[in-house]
Amino acid sequence: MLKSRPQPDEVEVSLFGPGYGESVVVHLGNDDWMIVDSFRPAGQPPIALAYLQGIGVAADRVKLVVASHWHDDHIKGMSDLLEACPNATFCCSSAFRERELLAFVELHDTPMSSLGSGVDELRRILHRLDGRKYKWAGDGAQLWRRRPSPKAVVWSISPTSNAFRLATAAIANLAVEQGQTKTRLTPSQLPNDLCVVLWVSVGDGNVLLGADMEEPGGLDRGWSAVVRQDPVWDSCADVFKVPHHGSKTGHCDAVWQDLLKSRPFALVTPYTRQVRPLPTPADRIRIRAATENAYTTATEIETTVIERSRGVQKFLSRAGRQPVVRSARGQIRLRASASVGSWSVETHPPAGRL
Amino acid sequence: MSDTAVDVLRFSEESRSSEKGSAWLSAENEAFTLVSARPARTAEAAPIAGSSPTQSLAADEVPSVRGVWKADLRFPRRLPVTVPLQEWEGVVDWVEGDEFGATLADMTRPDAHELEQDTFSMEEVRRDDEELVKPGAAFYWTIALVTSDVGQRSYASFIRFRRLPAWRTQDVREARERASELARRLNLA
Repeated sequence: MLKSRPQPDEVEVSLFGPGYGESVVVHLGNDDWMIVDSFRPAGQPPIALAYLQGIGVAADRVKLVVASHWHDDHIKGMSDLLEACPNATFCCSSAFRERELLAFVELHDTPMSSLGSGVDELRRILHRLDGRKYKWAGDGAQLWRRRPSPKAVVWSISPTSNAFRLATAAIANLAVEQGQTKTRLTPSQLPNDLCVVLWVSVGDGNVLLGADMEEPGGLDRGWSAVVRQDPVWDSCADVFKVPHHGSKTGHCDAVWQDLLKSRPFALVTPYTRQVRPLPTPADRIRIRAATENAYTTATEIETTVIERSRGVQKFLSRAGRQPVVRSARGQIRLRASASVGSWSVETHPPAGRL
Repeated sequence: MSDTAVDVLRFSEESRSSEKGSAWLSAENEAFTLVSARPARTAEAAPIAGSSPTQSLAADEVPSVRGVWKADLRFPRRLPVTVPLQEWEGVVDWVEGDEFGATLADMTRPDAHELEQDTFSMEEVRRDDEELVKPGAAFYWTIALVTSDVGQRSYASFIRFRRLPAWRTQDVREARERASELARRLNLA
């Protein structure tokens, strides 16, 4: 991980993404920090905490912890992260104010496997909110603000109310399908419309954090609905956390045209747990065509093999198979003076240009 | 009964009656089975103790299946023994065509934190489990050393999908009650 602490008047965006998991750490100026999403490397604390500790920032300087959504790769370790940050306000989608959605979470109170799931993690968080500050994210909700210089404000610009209604209904239907065999919850069962997309302004710098928001089609859903809302922004963003691991399902022309400056910094995390990992070669071409400042947290994914007994290894070899651990410890870090707004980029391998 | 089978039985009884043969029968059952299935002339001359069945059988000496079966009737089979060497708990990430990918947690090393990934063929799945193979499905994957009823040892892979109980009306009702309680604590209207 990269070292050195930002100056009080600097805004910083650090992105971590090992191939499965994503976490964003943002310096809002004046040593106030925000963490969006969480992942935990094997046997270690959440990556965001490790980074802050590495640059000498106390966890009590974290003012906001946001769960952009409940997919496993965005929320793992977040309950521990929240516990370690006593002054942080927790924020998640306003969809979870709905009784049906809470019932859905409660229905999955027993993990289906030792691998856990994002819903297990979210449930742990919701049950630990007693006595804590928390806010619900929706379109145009102000989550955090600081008036003294540099001025800083964090807005959520999704889920939009219509997407919220549609997605909540879909999830409520899942919850009442009695007689359906239980499985571990998977991303395909949980729509991305409920993602929390954030707009962060610090001084003159603007950052759009796209979570896993997608463009399912139709003007009242996904990115189209986000772009059409009454804007909380008064200028375009310099930095874009590209949604949904660079997938074409998260692409929306209107976002690039209406919400982003020309040639913005576009930051991508890969996703390896599907038959065709993201971003695909076509995704890379599309994003690079949109900006020359495109970066990924992992230009390559390291694979390691666990050592096992000779007999097991021999069997695996004869069968022509080999379970592997895939990981990458890359980091992209952008910094800018809040008053000047000129960004510099650093990468820690295997992060690099997309 | 073929000549091979008769000779096998005679040979086996002789082996059992000798001290050397008895010890060998219990300790090296797999060698016994194969050597005993040889034609009589070979079996009588064969070095018994310590002989490796695969080393001592030439291509033209492979016994008939019929002969082996008859020999086995005389000596009751043991139950097959399966010793798990490695076990993972897996969750299906994706399914495409006749393949599926999964994330695996090592259950043999409880202190292991790394999750592994591998791709499986549907051919490896029991036929009556095939309908369970879908994203999110949980399964166990075991690599085991199997000793067959006739003592043959080999490595084998077993995939067993979990059949989790279906949601019941009571589950849903209780979940709604817990959700109401949680909403009350979070001051949700």
